[in-house]
Amino acid sequence: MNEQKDEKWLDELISRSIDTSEPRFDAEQWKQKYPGEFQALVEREARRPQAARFDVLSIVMRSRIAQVAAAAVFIIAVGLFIAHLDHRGQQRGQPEQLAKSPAEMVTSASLRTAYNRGGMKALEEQCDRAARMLGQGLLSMKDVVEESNG
Amino acid sequence: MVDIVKGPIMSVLRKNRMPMLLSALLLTLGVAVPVLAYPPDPNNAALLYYQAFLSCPKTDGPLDTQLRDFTEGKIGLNKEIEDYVGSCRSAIKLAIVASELRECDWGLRYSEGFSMIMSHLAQIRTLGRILIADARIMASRGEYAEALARCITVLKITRHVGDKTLISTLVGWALEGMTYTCIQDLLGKMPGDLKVLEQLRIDLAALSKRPLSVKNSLQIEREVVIEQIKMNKVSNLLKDLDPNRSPEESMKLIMDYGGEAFLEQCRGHYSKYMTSVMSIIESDAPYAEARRRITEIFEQVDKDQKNKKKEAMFTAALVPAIAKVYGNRIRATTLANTVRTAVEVYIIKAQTGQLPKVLPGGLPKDLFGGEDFEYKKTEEGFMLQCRGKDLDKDKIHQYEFKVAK
Repeated sequence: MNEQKDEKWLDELISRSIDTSEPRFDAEQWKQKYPGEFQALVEREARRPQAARFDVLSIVMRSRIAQVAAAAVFIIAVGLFIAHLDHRGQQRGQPEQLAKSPAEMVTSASLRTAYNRGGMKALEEQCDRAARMLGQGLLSMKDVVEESNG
Repeated sequence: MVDIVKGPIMSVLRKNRMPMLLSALLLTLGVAVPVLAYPPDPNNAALLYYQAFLSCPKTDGPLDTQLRDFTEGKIGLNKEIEDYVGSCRSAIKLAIVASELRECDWGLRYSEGFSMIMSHLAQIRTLGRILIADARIMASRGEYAEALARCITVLKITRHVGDKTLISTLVGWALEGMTYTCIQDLLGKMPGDLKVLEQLRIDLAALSKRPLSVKNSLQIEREVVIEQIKMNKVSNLLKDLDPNRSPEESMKLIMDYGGEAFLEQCRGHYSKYMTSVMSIIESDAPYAEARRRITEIFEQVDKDQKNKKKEAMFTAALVPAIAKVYGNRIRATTLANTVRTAVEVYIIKAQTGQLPKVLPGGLPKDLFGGEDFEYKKTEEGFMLQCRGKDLDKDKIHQYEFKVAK
């Protein structure tokens, strides 16, 4: 609560000290203020020859190889986008408790906190959660021998 | 008098010198070879438990839930549970051997104070569950003697879980509770086998002579905390108690309050209250009286804090947990006493073919009321009821025991 209050206070202080409003471009005002520059810009666009325009779409539509390449680029881009979304989703979906490592969950302090919070039930739940996260794996001498024999 | 050098013994030795030498050599080899063959097995149970933890295959989410529910008797046996417990055979074997050892040193770093890692407490619960599940599987096959022996193994393990820290004592009680619930279920299903019941009576009586000692854990707790309320370690303790505060902030706070002189006051305050609570817990005062006195102490600490006695800061953070522990202790011991009393009833039933009309004398008591349990016959068996109220839970505990037809 205090931290939030502090942040609010800090935001207000910053706002008072500097202009934090979003910058906006007013085209009409700019045209009126700089008529010469505006005219030069319009004339340059008009001078460009029509034939020199690089029509990407028409090239793609005419060439078979270009069509395949464009399709591949499109598929890869979509795949990467989905993977990115999925990763972000996973990051968001992770429960808060996973932020704590199993070792942190089983310190004396952490277990005590659980007990103070919810008695035996909370203590037992914390132990069980940590046990599920702690690595366990079956490894017998027989496994080791079998593995080393290839 | 016979001259030893010239006597008959020396004469025999001189005549059979070579055979004698060979015999001596063989004898030496016979004694030495087994010793040199391989090192002895560990005598520290914890080493075997740690191996057992590593030997348990990891369970996925649904199986983990099933195992827990089966252990608590909420669901019946299925193939998945049976296969999983079967795959834990090595761990079960290690746990049984470990439970019979006297020494159990988990290798905890007490010098770390509350930052000490106690991962074994999480894993011992899983191991305990596997053993209890194994007991229930054996019971489903009609192997009740073996099933009860497995439960006794878990109760022995709880003694190893320990009374070296408050938290380990609590985890030990929780595991005990799980086991007694299983024993209660098994007793309700098994046919009246006098020999098995008498063995159970002996085992439970032996375990009751070495209960988890809250006195021991509180003494160690006090030592650990007092050691932590020192300039070189106090920032760690404060970090554990208030993770939102940085070590620099904590140290500044302590220095503002007077540094080491202030910490000495804190140690004195904490020690005084801990000693009072410990003396009540260790006393034979009746439950209601002891609880009232502990509550008074807690209220006094609260008052100290409200009166801005800064030296009460550590006591206020640490003592409330101690107050709750007393209730847990009474609950755990009463449950153990209930099962021991029930075993006596089952023994009478096995001897006479009938449940007793009243409880025999000299049985373990309900610690909430300080008297014998109230005994009632029910349609399915019998019920043991506490005579005193559990003031933390605001209820009178009742324990139902079924009798197999």
